[in-house]
Amino acid sequence: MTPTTTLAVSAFAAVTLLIALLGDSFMVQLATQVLVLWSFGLSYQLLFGRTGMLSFGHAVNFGLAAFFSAHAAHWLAGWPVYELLPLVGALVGLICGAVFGYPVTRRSGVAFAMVTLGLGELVAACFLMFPGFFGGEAGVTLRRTDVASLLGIDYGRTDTQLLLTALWSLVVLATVHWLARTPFGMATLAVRENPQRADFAGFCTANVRWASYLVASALAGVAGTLSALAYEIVTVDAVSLHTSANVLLLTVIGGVGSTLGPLVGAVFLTVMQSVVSEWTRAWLFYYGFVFVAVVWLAPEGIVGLAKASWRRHAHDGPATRTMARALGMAFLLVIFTETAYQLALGEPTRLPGWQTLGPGALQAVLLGSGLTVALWLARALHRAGGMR
Amino acid sequence: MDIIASSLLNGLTYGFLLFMLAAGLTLVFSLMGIMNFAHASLYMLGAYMGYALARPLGFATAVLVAPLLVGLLGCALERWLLRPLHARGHVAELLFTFGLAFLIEEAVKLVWGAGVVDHHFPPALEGSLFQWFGTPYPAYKAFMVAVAVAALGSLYLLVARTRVGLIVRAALTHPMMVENLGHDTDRVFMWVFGLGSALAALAGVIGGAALTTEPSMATQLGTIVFVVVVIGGLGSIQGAFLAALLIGMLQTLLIAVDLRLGQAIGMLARYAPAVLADVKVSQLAPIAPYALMVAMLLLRPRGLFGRRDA
Repeated sequence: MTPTTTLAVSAFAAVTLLIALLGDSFMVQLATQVLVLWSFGLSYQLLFGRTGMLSFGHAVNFGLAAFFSAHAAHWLAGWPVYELLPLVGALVGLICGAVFGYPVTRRSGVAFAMVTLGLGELVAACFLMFPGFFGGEAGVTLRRTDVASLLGIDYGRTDTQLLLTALWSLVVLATVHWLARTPFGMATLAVRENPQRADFAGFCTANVRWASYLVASALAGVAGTLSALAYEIVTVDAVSLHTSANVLLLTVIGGVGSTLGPLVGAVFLTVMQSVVSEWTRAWLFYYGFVFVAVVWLAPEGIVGLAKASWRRHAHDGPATRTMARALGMAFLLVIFTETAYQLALGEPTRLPGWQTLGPGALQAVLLGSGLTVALWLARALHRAGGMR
Repeated sequence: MDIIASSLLNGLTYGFLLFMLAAGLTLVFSLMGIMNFAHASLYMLGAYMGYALARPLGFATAVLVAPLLVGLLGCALERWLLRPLHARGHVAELLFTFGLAFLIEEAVKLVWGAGVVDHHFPPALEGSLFQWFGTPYPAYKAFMVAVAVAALGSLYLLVARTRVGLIVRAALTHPMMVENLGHDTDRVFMWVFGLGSALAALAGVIGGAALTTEPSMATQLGTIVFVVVVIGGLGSIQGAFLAALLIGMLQTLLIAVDLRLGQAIGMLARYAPAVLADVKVSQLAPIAPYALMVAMLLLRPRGLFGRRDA
């Protein structure tokens, strides 16, 4: 391990320990959620970021692993294997990757994206057919304490569960890091960048894609088990397009280029889901807007943007003006959307500070300026695109 | 017999609806290489616009105006948002249209609420047109087929018989040459994108009235339209037509069968596990298109009429 890696891993361990020891139960819940999403995002990063396969059905592996783990928790009740349960998820993910992965990886690019979308819908549509396995609308529940711990730790508490989740997400991280440095990892890059040339160099591109899909599915399976254990319930939502879209969005928003990206994306999604959703019903709109803005303006995600501005910072001074402008535009967008929501639904938002902004007159002014800025933003966006 | 007959007719209606969406999607894909994820969202926008316009202006005006508005929106979308992205490749475009679909769904929920809105055909179309093996055939279904045939027929005439269509067809295969001859291919692309959007919106106005108009309608139909395009072969209009009718009929037929799988396969049921034998055949209907797609991928990856393995 390089000094940087050691430093990063120890910082991660320290933060996790600190949250487990000092945080209240809400904080611990949020941290667990972030780590589950991070592991899931890392597996997606391997698939999309490193092999260039844009999948709209990655939740199939995650969700089926979660369901099987929930059932496994019932079957294995009393056995001292709790810490090893994510291996069940990995196995299920591997099987899913082998069975579903073979047909879908025959295609690449746009066709692959469409086919995985169909695959995801296929599995999600099965849930009414097999109520015994999917548990119908209510889902499948489990109790963490049913399975005994290998080390004698009480996993009924949330803080111990957080530490176990952190450990397993480090395993996922290590796998992704290690794979990137193997000849196979290089082959996936070649298949992403220039499939024709990789073909000439003697790689069967379809099989490289399949192998990458296999590993990504197994890692998604680990994340699926972690999610089942963390929430103690699995519903059909876990295999649905909704979950597939979430992992895609969080990975792209964070940045597909580095392993830090999915972490940033996971934190962002968790904050939106748990904190911002309490304030406003438009949180999904903002989430989508951030995604579209990232795809448009910063294809490398938040992490890529931060890296680029850090580099620019070293070169030619601070970019405070750009930052201020972006913040101002975000502020006006929020005011505009919230006012529109309030007019449409007739129900005030609970956004902090909204009440002090005053009654309708001020809001009407803000609405007008919001409109102007939206138009101006559209023009600026267009101009930026034209220069590119 | 009457069940099969009426299912076939219903399947025909549904298939035409699917094809109206698939035609625009395929045309845009073969011209620009953009697989527009937001295509079904434009279908949804069409339905909601039709709903909003039908109240003050009447249904007939809504059928004409809503596609026009959405078509213009499609033109703007291509011109201002998609064209600058083109240089960054198809994955960026796909991601962008995916995000757009997400945004449009949220915006629709914002404006019209998350529930089903009351979008219906006018009473004149609700009656029955004729009897078909003892089952009445509702007039609005005939209207749907008529609108679809009229729209698709004029699209065919436009592409195959006019000068504009000649340029579009030339731009399909030789965009550089067409550009060199002095035609603005970018503008051609924009109008084709707008036309595809208008077609989707037209399908939305009548499809939303026949089925339901709700925010989840885009994802529901959108995934099936993608399956239609894959089965038909990427970029093939004839393939999309055949696949749309096939899937439309298959789904409506399966829904009409009131049997359990164990009864349907008869003797073989002895070897099937009880879990599978208990499944109702009608429950297979949502799965059938996707299963067909996977089978197609394994047997013929290029689709029915696809020219190349994309």
